[in-house]
Amino acid sequence: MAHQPVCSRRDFLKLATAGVLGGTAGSPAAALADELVRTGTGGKTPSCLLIWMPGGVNQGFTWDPKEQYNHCRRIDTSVPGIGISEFMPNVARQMHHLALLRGMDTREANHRPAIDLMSTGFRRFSPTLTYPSLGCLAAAEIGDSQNELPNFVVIGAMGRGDDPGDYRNQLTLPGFLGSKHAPFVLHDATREPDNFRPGSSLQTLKSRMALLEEDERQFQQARGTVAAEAHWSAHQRALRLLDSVKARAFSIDQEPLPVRESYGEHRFGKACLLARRLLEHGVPIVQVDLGGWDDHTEQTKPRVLAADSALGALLLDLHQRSLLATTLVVIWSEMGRHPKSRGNHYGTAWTTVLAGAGIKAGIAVGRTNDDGLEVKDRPVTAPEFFATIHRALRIDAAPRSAVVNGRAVEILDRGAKPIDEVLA
Amino acid sequence: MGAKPADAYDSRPVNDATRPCVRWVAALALWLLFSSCLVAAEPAVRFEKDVLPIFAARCLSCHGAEKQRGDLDLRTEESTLQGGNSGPAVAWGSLGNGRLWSYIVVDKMPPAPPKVEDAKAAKGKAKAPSHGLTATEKDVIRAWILRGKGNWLPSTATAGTEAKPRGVEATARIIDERIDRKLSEAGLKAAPLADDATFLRRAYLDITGSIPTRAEASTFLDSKDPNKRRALIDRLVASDRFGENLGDLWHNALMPRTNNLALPPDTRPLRKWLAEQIQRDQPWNEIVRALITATGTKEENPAVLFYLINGNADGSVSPTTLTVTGMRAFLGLRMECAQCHDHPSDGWKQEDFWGFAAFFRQTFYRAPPQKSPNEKPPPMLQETPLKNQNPKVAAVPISIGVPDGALHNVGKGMPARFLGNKDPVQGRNDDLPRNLLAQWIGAADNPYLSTATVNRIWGHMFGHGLVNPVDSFRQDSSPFDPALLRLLAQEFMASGYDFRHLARCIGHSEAYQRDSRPFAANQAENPHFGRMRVKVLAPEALLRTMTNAIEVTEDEFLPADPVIQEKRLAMTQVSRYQRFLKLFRDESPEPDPTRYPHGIPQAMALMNQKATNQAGPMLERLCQQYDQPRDVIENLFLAILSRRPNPKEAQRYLEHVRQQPTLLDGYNDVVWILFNRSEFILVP
Repeated sequence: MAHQPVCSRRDFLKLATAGVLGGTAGSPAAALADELVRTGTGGKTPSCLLIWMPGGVNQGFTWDPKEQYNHCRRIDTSVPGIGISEFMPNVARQMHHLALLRGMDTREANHRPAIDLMSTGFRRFSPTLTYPSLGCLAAAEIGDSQNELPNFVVIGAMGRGDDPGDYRNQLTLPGFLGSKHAPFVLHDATREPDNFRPGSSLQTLKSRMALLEEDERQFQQARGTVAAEAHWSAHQRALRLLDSVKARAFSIDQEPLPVRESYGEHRFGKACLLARRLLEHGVPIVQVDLGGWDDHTEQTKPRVLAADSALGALLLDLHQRSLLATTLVVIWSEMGRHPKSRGNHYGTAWTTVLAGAGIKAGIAVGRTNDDGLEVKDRPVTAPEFFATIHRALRIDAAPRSAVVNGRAVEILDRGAKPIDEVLA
Repeated sequence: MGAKPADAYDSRPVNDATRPCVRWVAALALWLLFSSCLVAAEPAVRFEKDVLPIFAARCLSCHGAEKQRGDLDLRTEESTLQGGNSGPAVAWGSLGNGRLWSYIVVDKMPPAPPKVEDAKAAKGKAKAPSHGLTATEKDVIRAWILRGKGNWLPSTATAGTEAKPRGVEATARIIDERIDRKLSEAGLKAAPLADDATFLRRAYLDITGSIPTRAEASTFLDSKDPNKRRALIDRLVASDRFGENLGDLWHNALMPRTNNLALPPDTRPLRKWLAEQIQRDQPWNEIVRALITATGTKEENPAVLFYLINGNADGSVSPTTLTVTGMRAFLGLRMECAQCHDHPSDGWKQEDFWGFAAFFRQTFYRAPPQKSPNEKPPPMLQETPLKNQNPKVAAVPISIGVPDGALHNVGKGMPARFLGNKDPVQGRNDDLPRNLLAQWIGAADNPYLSTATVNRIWGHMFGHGLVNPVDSFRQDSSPFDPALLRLLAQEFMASGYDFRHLARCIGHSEAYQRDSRPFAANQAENPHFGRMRVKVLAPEALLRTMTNAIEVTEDEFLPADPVIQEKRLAMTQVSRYQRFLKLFRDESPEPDPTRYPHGIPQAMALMNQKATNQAGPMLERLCQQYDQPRDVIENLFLAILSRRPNPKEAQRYLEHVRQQPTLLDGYNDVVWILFNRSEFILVP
C-alpha cells in the first residue's frame, strides 16, 4: 500500500535545501529543488482552499444565469463582459480574482457517481479500489509531515451527520492512501476541535508528558515496536499542536467583530472565516463544505445569498492578506442544474470556479449556448478539471502512480490535459 | 505463437463455445485446491527440487543462461512466473491462464529436436528425448502450477461429520509442532514464554475484549498453580464476555465495506444478538444459517439488521452488497471484482458472483399490507417461495439479471450456483432460495466456512492470520502452513463449529504464550509465530478497558455533547458510543491490527479526556482503602496496566507523587501517565 512519493514536495524541498539529500549545488536533487523553487509562486508551495458545495449548485442562480428563464437578473462584475447572478453582488465585486469554467461537461447527473467523479477525478469503476478525494491527495502530495497543525482540515457546514460512509462525505475519504492522509474534520466552525483543551492545565500536561517520555523510552527499548513509536509520535504532535500559538487558529472568536460580520453570521460564513485563519496559520489544505443544494426549488436563493456574503468576504480577505497569490481556491459541486425542467440534475453544461495560485484571474473560460443546455465553447471534462488543479498545485511534475494491492494505480486519469487557458 | 490447439487455453477472450471450458478448468482448479485443504498434507511440489530439474533437462537450452527465446527465462521460479514476450507463463492455480502449460500440454514445447547438423556429435550423446514432456514430467508441472503458492482450499469428500475432534491439548500440541517445524525451516527460533502479567493482559483482551479487575489481576499474578495459564484461558473462554467479544468481532465483519446508507440503522441489537448466540453455544454454521435466512421485523429479529445494513439507500434488499459482505465474512473470499467482470487473477467468474447473489432474489424488505386504516405495520424481511411456472417440470430455476454498470453481460440472467459447482441450482415449488444457500454454506461438507472462520479467529488472537488479509483467500495466497489451516478447520468442524473449543485450542498452545520482544534469533519482520505480534487495541476493547480500569459505566465515561449536537447526531444515529468507536476505528482500506492507525485527534482524546485526567470514584476508593502512597500506586498499576510496577517504576512514581502539592494531584498524574503509555493501548 505504499504511495509514492513517500516524501512530500514540501519535505523534499526542505531536505534538499538543507542538503540532507546530498544536495550540494549541481546535484540532481538540488537542481530539481531549484527548478521547483524558481517556478510559480515565488518558490512557496501553494496552499489549497476547497469550497465544496454538494447537491448540485444551480449555475443559473449563480455563475451562469440565463435571463430568458427569469430566475434572476445578470449583473455586471468587476470584470467588464462577465456577468453573474444578481444574488451574488459581493462575489461580483471580486470577479477580477476569479476564473469561471463555464463549459463543464461531465455527463453525470446522479449524485453518487457524480460525487465520485468530481471528488476524485475518476469514475468509480471498481468496488475494490477507492480513489482518494482531492483534499487527501493534495495532503499526501504537498503536506508537511512536520507541521504542527494538521495538513488537511475539513470544516463541515453541511448540516449532515458525520458518517464517513455517507456518500455526501465522500470528499473526505483518503481511499487507497490510508488513514494517515485522512482529514482532521470539524463539524462546527464555532466549536473548537474535540478534546482540544488540556484536561487539567497545559503546564500539567507538559509535565506529565515529560514523565511519560521516560516510560516510553524504556518501553521502546524493551519492546522495540513500531506501534509504540507511532503512538508516542502522535502524542508529541498533539502536544505540539496544543502548545502552539497556532492552535489559536481554530478559534474564530479571536477575529474582530466587523470581520466576522463581513463573512456573515451563518454556518457557512463562520466556516469560511475559520478556513482563512487556518490557511494563514499554515494548514496547507482546507476544505469548507456547504451542502444542501439538492433542493430543486426556489429555496436556492437564500442559500446563494449566504454563500455570496461569505465568499465575497473570503476572497477580499485572502487578497488583502496576500494569501490569494499562494492559495489555489476551488469552488465546485458535483454537477449543475437543468436550466429548464424545474432545475433537475444536469451534468452537461455547468460551471466551476478556480482562483488564486497558478490561475489566470478575471476570466471566463468556455461558454454555454443561449438556452444553457449545451456547451458552445471549450467543454471541460472532469479529468481536465483535475489535471488543471494538479498543475496549479504543481503536483503533476512527473507521472505519478501509487501501488495498491500490487497493482499500479494512476493518481490522475491518463492523458488528461490541463486547461491552459486558465493557467497563469 | 498461437497454434490452433493452444487457443482453448488462451486467456484472451475466445468464442462462447470454448469459453465455458476455460472457465471450468479455472474454477475446478480452485475447488481442488480448496478441497485438498481437508485431506492429509501432501508433500508440496517445489520449484527447485521438482520442477527445475525437468526444465534443466528439457528447456533451459533455449530458455536459460545462454538463450532466452521469447524473452522467457526458466531458471528461477520468479523469472518463470514473469514470463516472456507473450505474457505471464504461469497463473498460479490455473492451468488455463498461463502460456507455459498451454504449450506443454499439447507438446508444442519442448519442440522436436532441431535437425542435427552434426550427426556424429548427436550419436555420441545419450539418445535425445523426442519432443514434448513425459506424462510424469507433465504431472509434476501440473501439480506445481495448481499448488499455487500453497494449498489452502478444502474438499467435500473428506470434510466428514463423523470425524471426532482431537481435543484441546492434542490440537494445541499440533499447533506447536507445525509452528516449530516452520520456524526451523526459516532458520528462526521461538521466543521464551511471556511473563505472567503480559500473558494475563493478552488473554483477557483477546478473549474477553477487556482487562482484568485489580483483584483478578493480583489473584492470577500471585497464584503458584503451574497450570494457571490454561485454567485462565478456560475460565475466560467459558465466560459470557467471550461471547460479547466475538459478537463485536462478527458484528464488524458483517458491516458493508462502504456504506451506501444516509441513515444507517443502529446495529447494536445485532451485536447483542450475535453475542447471545455465541454465549448460548449455538454452532457457528447455525448462526450463519439464521443470519442468511432471517425474516421478520428488525425489532423481533435483530438478524434482519444484517440485511438492512447491507441494503440499498431506499431500504430495499441489495443482493450485491449481501454477496460482497457475505462472501468475505463467511467464506473468506473477496469477489467484488467479479461483480462487473471475471476476476483477472483468481479464476472467479461473473457467474460465481451472481450465482451467489441470485439466492437473495426472492427476498424483500417491506411493510405487509395494511389491514385497517389506523394500523401501520412495520416493514418486514420476507422471502417469496419459488413458484413453478410450468407444472410439467419439477425444477424451478433461480436467476438474477446483471444490472447496468457491470462491464460485461449487462442484462443477462445468471443462474444461482454453489461455488465450485458448475450446475445451476434448481429449486422446487415452494422452496425458499436462501434456505438452499444457507444449507450449502453451513453443510458439514462445505470447506469454505470452517477454513475462513478458523483463520479469522487465529488472526484475532495472533494479530496475523495463517492467510492474510484474514478475509481474503486467493489462489495465490501462501498460507503460513496449509496443513495447520486444514487441521484447525477440521477440528472446528468436528467440534460442532464451537468457538470456545477453537479459542481453547489456540490459547493452550505455547505459541500463544510467547513473548513479543525481537531477539537475536528472531528479529524477522515475519516472526513465523515464534514471537507474538504486538496488537493495537480495537475500539470496542479500548472503550471497555478504559471504563473497567476506572470502574465506571460507559454512560458515565462517554462525554456528553452539547444538546444541539446530540440532537443532530441522534438524527443520523451516530451515538456517543458509536462516535467513540469511530474515532478509534482503523478506517484504512486494509486494516491491520498490528499497525498503529491513530493520529492527533486520538492522541488528544487520550490526553485530554476527563476520564484520563481524573480517575474519580475509583481513586477515592483506593485512597480510603490504602494509607500508603506506595499501595495506591501499585493498585493503579494493577487497575490500568494489569501488573504491579517494577521497583524502579514504583520508586520513580512515588517520588513524583510526594513532590506534588497534594497526593491526589500526584495520583491523577499517575493515572494519566498509565492511560497514555503505549503499554496501555497495545497488547504486547
